[in-house]
Amino acid sequence: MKKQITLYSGVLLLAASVILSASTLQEKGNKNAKERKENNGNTQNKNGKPSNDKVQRNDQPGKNAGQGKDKNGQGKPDKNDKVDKQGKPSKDFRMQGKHFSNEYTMLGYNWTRDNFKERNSLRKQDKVTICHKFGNGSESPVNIKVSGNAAKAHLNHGDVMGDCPVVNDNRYSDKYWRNRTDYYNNLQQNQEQVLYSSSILDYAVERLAGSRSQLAIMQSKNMPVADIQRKQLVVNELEENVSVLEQLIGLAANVVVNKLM
Amino acid sequence: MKENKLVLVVFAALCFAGSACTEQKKSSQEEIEIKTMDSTSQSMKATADKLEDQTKKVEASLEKLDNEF
Repeated sequence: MKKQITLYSGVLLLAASVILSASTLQEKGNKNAKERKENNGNTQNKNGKPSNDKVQRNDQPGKNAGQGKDKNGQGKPDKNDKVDKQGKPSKDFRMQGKHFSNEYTMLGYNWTRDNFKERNSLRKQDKVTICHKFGNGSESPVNIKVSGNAAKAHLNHGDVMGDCPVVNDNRYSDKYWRNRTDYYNNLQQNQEQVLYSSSILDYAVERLAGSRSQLAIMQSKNMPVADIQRKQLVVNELEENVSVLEQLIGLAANVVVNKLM
Repeated sequence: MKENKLVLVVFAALCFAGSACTEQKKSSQEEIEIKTMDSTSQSMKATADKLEDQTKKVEASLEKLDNEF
């Protein structure tokens, strides 16, 4: 009897140690894989949306990931990637920016020659705190600070003004909750910047098209060559800046898209 | 009687080991999540800064365009 018990105990201990080492190995493997992914470059779409139970780590690059990178993958836009002759951004960007197009109109960023001059006052930079709720309902809401322009859009999605109610959730440390709040606040700031930049891009594209037409008319009317050249230089400069902006918006949109839904 | 006690002790030890393992796993999972959030935040901030700078350049070019056209 005594021998049997000793044998059972030995088997149990052995099983326990096997389970422990397997668990440790798996943990190490996960950690290493994570680090490798983090080192793969920050422009990749990580879908690193934290949830209460688990960060959803869909590490498949997004379908638009890497767009606008240069050959070295540094995220530096390639000079060859310019807007087309009509000054319209490439189709790819249009697809990517589709998510934003209605939102920034809703935020009031619809520029004309007149209101563009007052853009700094129209773009309300003062922040309000809202309790942001996630669409799936399973994730804890988070306090985020949003600009006056963005607040309305959030409230339309079901968010509420002010702080979220305090919930005691001991599953994670205070540090985790602080980082989570920072994460979503950064995401919000980035999203607002993308929306604003997209609106400026659209306005610039529109102005470029108009300016080119005017230039063509001026040339046909035999305006002084020096004047035409000067205007042409201004148009070229804008064209180059628009091209770079377009690429950067593509990169930034990849990071923020759908994370605050 | 003695044998029963031994079984109980072994069982308790196993429970303790299992619970410690779960706790360790949970803490490690949390660290990974924090790291992921930090790294994504940094990446977002860098991208937003670049975007802001470039937007200002476009705005400046647009102002020049306003003067010419």
